[in-house]
Amino acid sequence: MSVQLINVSHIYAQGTPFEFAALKDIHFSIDKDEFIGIIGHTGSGKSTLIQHLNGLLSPTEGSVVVDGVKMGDSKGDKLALRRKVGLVFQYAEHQLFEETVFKDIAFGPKNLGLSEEEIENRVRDAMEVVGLDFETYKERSPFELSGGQMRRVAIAGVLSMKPEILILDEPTAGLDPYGKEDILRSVYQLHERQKTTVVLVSHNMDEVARLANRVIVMSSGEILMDAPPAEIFTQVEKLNEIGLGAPDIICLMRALKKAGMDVDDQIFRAEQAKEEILRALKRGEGAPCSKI
Amino acid sequence: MLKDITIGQYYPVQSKIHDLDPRTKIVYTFVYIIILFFANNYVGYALGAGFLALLIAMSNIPLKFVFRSVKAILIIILITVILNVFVTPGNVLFRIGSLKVTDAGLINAAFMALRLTMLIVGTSIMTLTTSPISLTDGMEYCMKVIPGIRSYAHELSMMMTIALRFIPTLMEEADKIMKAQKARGADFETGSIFKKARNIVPILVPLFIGSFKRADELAMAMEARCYRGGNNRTRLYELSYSKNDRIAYIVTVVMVAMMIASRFLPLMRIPIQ
Amino acid sequence: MQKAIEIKNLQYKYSRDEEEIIAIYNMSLDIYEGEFVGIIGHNGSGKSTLAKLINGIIMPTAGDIFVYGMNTKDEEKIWEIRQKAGIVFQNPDNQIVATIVEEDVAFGPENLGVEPGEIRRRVDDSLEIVRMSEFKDRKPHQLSGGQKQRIAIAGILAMEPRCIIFDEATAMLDPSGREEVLECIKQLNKENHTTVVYITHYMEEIVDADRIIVLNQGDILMQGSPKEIFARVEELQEVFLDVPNITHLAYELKKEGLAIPDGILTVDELVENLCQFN
Repeated sequence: MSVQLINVSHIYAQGTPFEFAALKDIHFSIDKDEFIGIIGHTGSGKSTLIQHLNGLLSPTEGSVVVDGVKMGDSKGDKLALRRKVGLVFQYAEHQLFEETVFKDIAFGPKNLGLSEEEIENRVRDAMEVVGLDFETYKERSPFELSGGQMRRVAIAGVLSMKPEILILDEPTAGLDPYGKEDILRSVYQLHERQKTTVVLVSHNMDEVARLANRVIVMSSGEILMDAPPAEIFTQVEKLNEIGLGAPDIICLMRALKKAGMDVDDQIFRAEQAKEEILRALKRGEGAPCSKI
Repeated sequence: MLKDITIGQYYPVQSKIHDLDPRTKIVYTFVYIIILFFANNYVGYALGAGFLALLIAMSNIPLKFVFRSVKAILIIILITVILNVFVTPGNVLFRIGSLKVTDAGLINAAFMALRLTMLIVGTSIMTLTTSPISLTDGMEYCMKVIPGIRSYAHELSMMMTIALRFIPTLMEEADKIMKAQKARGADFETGSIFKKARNIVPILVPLFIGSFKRADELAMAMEARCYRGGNNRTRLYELSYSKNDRIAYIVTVVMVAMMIASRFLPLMRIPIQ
Repeated sequence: MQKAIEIKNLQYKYSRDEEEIIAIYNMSLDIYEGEFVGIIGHNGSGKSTLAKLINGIIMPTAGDIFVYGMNTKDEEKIWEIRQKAGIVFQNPDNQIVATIVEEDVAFGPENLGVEPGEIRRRVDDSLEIVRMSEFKDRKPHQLSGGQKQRIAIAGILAMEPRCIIFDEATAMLDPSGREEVLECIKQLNKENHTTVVYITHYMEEIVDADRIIVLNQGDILMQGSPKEIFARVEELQEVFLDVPNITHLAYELKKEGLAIPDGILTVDELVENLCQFN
């Protein structure tokens, strides 16, 4: 499926002294099979943007087009969109409320009016994706789990709706490195195996650099850049200008090139950087660095 | 955004009334409410209305805001009026079915409505001109003078302060949880009242759990910052009276004197009826 | 050097669902006046428990903690301990008490019974140090996460502590908020000579620390300078910790046979070392 935002603006508290334009004339679309990373500061409009993608917010101006059909303001339209576009909020574990993990993950499918059997299948599948053993955890209270596990239950609660597009707002915020890896791995596998379109909102450049095949940079309510990661992360100056900073690896590669080493300074993933440095050292044996 | 909603009805403008010490305003309002019940003749009511008008004029608050509070209790005023019109004995002016409308009933009703309006507007002026924070401060000081509740004064005001501090945070959180459940297909708008009430559980449970966690962490943070109740505690801002406060207290005394006079001095008694 | 905190054979256990859990297992550790100590460990390694123990919010089940010579078990000294060794917690929202920024900063000294004039001075000074003076009349909920956390720091500073414990104080902030708070903390350590105990699970935040202590399952797994610690990439990964990207790349290159020293921390260091071969 595809979702398009056409000239979308969103103004909070319009007509009051608190009026605030969170989105300004946004033009943007999501297509099948993409893994989109959205980066930007707090307050850059990321959260407002993603809430337009599943009908939680309606544009003050402009329109949302889903599969070629313009979204109306009717509740039916919005509910239909929310079924197809899953949204995992930041600190998603704060939304857990049921007595057992099973019941909480089943909340979404139940709202869809599915049969008991289908609900159980979906809960089972969703738990498998996030790496929670069904038999071990289904009867546990979500509130007895660790922070990372609670986060995974919450994500499973959205996955069980079987969304075609999955949006995650800072899914790794506040977790330790191990917990972070777990979640990113699940999300990536979901994208690879089930062909779910993923939109990952993150402050973490490295996360986005590793996973996304398209990156959107937002700043004060506007889309500043929208391109494949290689094109985004090589624009170090521009990223620094809006205070986002570039990934470490690209900074290293540029510094090496500046110091006279013959390396490709467009590389931003660690694995590639290693290969490139080893190659360059073999190639340039004996030639000294011009300056350090 | 939701978190910018002001709590209470504080109307922030510059005025002599805004600048008064909150204690002065609390005492004045308290006294004003009591003397309103002393009024039993035209002069008394005129005094009550006169002092109120003076206060409104000095507060720089648009009349629209001043009288908005009356809207909230309009029903109560109406009920009072209707009861008074029909049950007060006197000369029957006309009848509606078996109900008699008397001249005394009409007059009584009118004055009752006036009294209630003055009562509400009088207290509104206090909340409109005092921020919830200084109101809390003022109340703590005032409660400390009253035996019986003196020992709870600090705790009560600390509770109010924390409530004021967390209302915006919790509203934001409630909004976020509601959206998160909506994203999972929850429906909060359709269905019977019973269904709607049940649908709110997925919001209330996380909100409660979140609040308990906050309370727990806040208590720990307060303890870590050496909080141990109100004993031996000092304040950044000690409330202090200025010249205007002294004037306001004199006005209060004058108002009480005049009201008593209106009730007991034959000269000033222009009785109703 | 004077010991700011002295931990002797510390043990802490609690029971949950009738199961006994040992959060801290026989730990001994000294932290010296003026030091910047980074404490790192994955969730459940006991690092937050340690913070609460130092502040006397919870009591050791065995062993002792001395804060500037005062035992946390000594009830008469508890307020002095908390004044001397303040603590900043993770969630900025849940440690701000008052509805106005400057009144919140005043909360600590008010509790200590400091004279109003002196409170005023401390509030102004503390806000100045964290560079939040212009926000003194704001409401906390109008501030960003990083700003709120700096207010929380000012609130501790106003008690005039000699040591501050930061318990994952940047975990809930975005990168710019994290940077502004971290910078503020480093400045406190350098200019005001405040002893800093910095608990985190972000390795890259403590590359400048004087000493790093790695906790695992309630025990000290290793301690040493950042260089010494970050040289032990494999051991760190075994306890689910991650080294900074650059350190990791240097380690990988070394494994490929390049003669690079252990514990590379910055881009510049790596460039310098790689250029030697070129």
